[in-house]
Amino acid sequence: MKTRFLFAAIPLVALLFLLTGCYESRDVTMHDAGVYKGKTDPLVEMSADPAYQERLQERFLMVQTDR
Amino acid sequence: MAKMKFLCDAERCIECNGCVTACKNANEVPWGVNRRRVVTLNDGVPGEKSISVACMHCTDAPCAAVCPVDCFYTTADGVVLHDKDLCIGCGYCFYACPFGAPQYPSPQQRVFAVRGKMDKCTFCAGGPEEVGSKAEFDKYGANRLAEGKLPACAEMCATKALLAGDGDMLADIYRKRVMRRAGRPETWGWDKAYGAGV
Amino acid sequence: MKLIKKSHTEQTAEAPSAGRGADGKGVSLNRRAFLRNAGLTVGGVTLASQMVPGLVRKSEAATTVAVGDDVETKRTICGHCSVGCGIYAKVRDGVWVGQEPAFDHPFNLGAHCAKGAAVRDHGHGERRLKYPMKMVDGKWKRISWDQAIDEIGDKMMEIREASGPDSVYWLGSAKFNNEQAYLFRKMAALWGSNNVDHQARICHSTTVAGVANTWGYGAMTNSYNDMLNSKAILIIGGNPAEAHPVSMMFTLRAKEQGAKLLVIDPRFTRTAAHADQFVRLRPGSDIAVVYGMMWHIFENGWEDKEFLEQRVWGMDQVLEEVARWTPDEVERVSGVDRETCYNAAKLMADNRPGTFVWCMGGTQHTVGNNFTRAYCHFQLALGNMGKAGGGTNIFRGHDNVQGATDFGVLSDNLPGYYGLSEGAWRHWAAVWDLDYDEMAARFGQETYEERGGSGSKPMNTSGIPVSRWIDGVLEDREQIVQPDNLRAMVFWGHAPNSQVRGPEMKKAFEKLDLLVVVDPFPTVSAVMHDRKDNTYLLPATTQFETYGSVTASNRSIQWRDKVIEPLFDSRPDHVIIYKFAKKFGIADDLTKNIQVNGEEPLIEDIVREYNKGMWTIGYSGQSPERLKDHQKNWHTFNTTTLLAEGGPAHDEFYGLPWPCWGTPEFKHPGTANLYDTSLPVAKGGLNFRENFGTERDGDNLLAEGSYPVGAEIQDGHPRFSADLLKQLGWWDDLTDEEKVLAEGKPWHLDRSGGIIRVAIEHGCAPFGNAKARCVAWNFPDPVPIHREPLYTTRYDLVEKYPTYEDRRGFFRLPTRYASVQAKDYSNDYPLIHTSGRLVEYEGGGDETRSNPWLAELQQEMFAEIHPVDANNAGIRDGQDIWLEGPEGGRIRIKAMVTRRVEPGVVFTPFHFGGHFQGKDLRANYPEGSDPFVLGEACNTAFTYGYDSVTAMQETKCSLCRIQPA
Repeated sequence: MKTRFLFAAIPLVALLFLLTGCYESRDVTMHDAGVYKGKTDPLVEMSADPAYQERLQERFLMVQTDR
Repeated sequence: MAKMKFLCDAERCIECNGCVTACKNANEVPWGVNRRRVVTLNDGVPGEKSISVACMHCTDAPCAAVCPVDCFYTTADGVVLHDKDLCIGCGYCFYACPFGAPQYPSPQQRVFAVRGKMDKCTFCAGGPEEVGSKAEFDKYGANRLAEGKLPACAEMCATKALLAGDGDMLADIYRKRVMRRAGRPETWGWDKAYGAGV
Repeated sequence: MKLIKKSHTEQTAEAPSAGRGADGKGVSLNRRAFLRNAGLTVGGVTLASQMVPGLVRKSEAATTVAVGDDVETKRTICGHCSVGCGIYAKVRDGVWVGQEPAFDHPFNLGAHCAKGAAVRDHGHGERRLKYPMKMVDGKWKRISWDQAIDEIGDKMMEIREASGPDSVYWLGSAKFNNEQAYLFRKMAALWGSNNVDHQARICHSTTVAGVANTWGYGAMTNSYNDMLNSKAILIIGGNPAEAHPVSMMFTLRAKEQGAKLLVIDPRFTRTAAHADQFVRLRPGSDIAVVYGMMWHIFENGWEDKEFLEQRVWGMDQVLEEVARWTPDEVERVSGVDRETCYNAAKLMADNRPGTFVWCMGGTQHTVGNNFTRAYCHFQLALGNMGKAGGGTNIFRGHDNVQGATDFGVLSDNLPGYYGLSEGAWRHWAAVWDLDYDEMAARFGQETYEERGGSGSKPMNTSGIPVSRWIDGVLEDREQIVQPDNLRAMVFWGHAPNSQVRGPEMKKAFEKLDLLVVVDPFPTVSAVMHDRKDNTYLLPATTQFETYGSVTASNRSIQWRDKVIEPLFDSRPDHVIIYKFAKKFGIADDLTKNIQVNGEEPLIEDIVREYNKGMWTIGYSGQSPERLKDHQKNWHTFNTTTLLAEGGPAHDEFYGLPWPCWGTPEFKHPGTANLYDTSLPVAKGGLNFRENFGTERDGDNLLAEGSYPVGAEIQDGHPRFSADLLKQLGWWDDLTDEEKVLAEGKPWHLDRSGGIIRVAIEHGCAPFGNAKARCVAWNFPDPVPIHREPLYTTRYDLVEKYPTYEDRRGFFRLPTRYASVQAKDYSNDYPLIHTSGRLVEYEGGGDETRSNPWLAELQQEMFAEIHPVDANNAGIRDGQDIWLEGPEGGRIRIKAMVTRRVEPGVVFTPFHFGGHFQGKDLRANYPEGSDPFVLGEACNTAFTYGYDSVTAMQETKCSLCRIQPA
């Protein structure tokens, strides 16, 4: 009984495994020049913040003064 | 809105490679990958000049224009970045880039956690992962901009030849330097304009 | 610009496609594993790094971002060159996770060269020497510290018993901090030998001797920052664009403000590329060019007559020599034509104040002391000394070579340049609170007049200098002025590949009874020989794993924080010194006034102790508290004058540059520019030192009509002493306690500091006020003259400009000059061989070639060869070649064909090691401790030749021949 079940299960598992290999994602990225398709970078939003801009300006003045 | 730019003052650059190792240090750039390089012209003869070159963060970036998977994006202050998860490492951006900035680590080099993908200067602005996360550092390196700092290469430049920051502010500094140099009698004048002995 | 367009499908920017994000994720980079691979591709040899469990955790932590509340910031100083760049080190959980530029640091303002920008790799240390190692039958074996110290100590005591204390050589380091340097010298003294030395011998010893014998102190007179005040900058025999890159920030800024840059060098260096005028000279012909310029200066009356009258003695004798250097003779000897030389002289005369910079191109010669003095004379002639923007800015090499020199890690000095006389020893015995006779008993008691030595005892005789250790080992025992040869060598922070005569060095290594290397890296000392046993490697830490003070080239003393705990099984140098002292039974004497925690002598106590003895050069006012105050307030110092403007260090110069006179309580601000009479002595002013008597040949050696602002003695005067104070009626200005210690003493032996205090309160320099002397009558050449190198391509000049006669008993050794020059090698070896630096590496390079960020940038040892020479030898660019020196040392390297050198000159960098005469020695390193990049040491091919005053080695002009490999 047990063995028979096993005999039945093995091809089933094998079939499933084979079918897995056949899967193809249809989720394709097509080219669209200039349009970003990747993940969102939180920095993009951050960089629009005037406080962020000001901080970098201050840093620049500190870095480049007196030399 | 600021536009982030690099500027290398060839009169000041002494080819010390400080920018190169500063980049390696800040971003833990592995052996074989050079996001920044110093190029010397007329090596060893009068007229020798060096400049430090990396990704120039073009406003209309050719790399982005040609990328078949559109993995490039630009931040509000003009830093050109890309998503390594999307990048297929095809090398088309290498064709397009006028400066040879993109790097393609060999398959054995699992650079920045991903092999064969394009790597380039990020203006020390990380990439599309949570700011300051381990994932961001492992894949793209430091995010100094988010910390309120500028790229390590320019911040550490030995002679302040390499400047990084808002383009207008760079121009101000550079203009002042040029004016100061103009005060040197031998900088301008007959010899410079027409050559000695004319 | 749109280069290509394709139609798009359903994707949007915000939705990354499933499956694609995954393939880049979750692959964690093992930095060490990668580096191992990289080392493999580069080095070509499979050597697994030694994996240390603790380190894997560390390197993973290091890849996280260096921000957050748990990140500590430490202030430290770069450990490479002598500029002394400040660094902010970010540390989390004991791991060095980030390095930030120190914009507020007064020297570097955040700037770094390749080395400085890469120091954080010291926190990884993947190629460090990790444990004490012992060679057993030709194989490295890990041992414990206790076993190592026991075995080494026993062997040393055995050698001491059989051959005397002078048969053990203590080779110290410019990589020590000041406290370690001082403790090291003290330990050698207690061991009972002057056979102690360090790299300054082969770096700037001729500078220290030449310059000190001209005007009193042998150090850089001004500072890197002060070059902003210069109207002209002359750089001879130096390439700061590679050796001191951050100094170029000041040079180039000065140039932008109108200063002229004149570079004199055999090579068109990266520094020369920025020059207004470049003068190419034949290596070793500096005297011709400098006197050639002086010829024009005096011919045209450009000299500073008032300055010469008031503050200089002996220029007339120099001028007799200068008169021989007519433009024709200058061109014949140096290759510099009349017009070029005239223009260079005029450039310096027209643009004053001008500063004069030199480095090892000027020092590493058999006549190095002549060169350095001629440079001084040039500056004196133009009146450029003792002025902001002027001075002799001698760029020192290593980060603490100035400090290690000051603390007497030298075979001919005690700390503070006190010399080796009985008075000097008694002074230090008193500071150390030890009995002089007991101390003297530890030294050898014999004298060696019959062997050419002086009648004095070993305690008062200069030891063997590091440049000659090979001869100390190999020379015939009867020829050495000490009881026996050197039998044990301790290389404590030294790269042997920085020294000449490779094949003989190998023999010397193999003849030693005991070889001990104490270093963060195995160094070439561990690999270049075929020893089988009695060889030990002890892992020392870098300066980032300890704390203490370091002296920059400009004499400023900077405090370093400890960044991280010692890596692996390494120990800080002062702990290792203590371990040895304990083994020898001298630990109690060594640390009598110094608190010891476990085995670590307290750094602050060491500072307090040397403060009490270093009066000569004013290392007496820099208490640990004052130094730490300066460290915490970098931002308050002016970056041109170095003067603090407000804050706790108000009106003090950064780092209290020595001399910082008197006791810490006296609050002297330090001296930024030496010999500057425009400031009161109490505010950092000075005049030239009275160090050579008050009279010579009936001439007055004291200054005339020149004195620092506010001086009560408005003329020259001798050095102060108890007697002079009494004569002046100033004796009662001393307190009663001061009188006890000052009675009968000259200023520099008064341990109360009272004489110094009183002199300065009256506006006078404690060391007197004299003229600079242009004639060093105690030197082989009192007036500097040109002498051809021992190995010269211009044998036609030897007759007119011969070298010295051979000598005996010079630093205990016979020293050959004329007998080497007697043979003309220039037919078989037709090219001049000279050497220098690369920006990525430093010194012997073991440290920097083990840093992957640096090593990647410079992977091949090479020689620069002019196209003419290359074509004549049938050599193409990039080809492997053999370069052979006239003593037979040969190296297999790459050819770089370039016009940077002129025809007839071959240049090689000196940082490589680990290959020897064509053989790769990578397998000889302890596993995992081999540097990423190995290469031939150029010094394998360099030859015999030592300076006539300091025994500096000659590495700037030898001969060679080249052929395809």
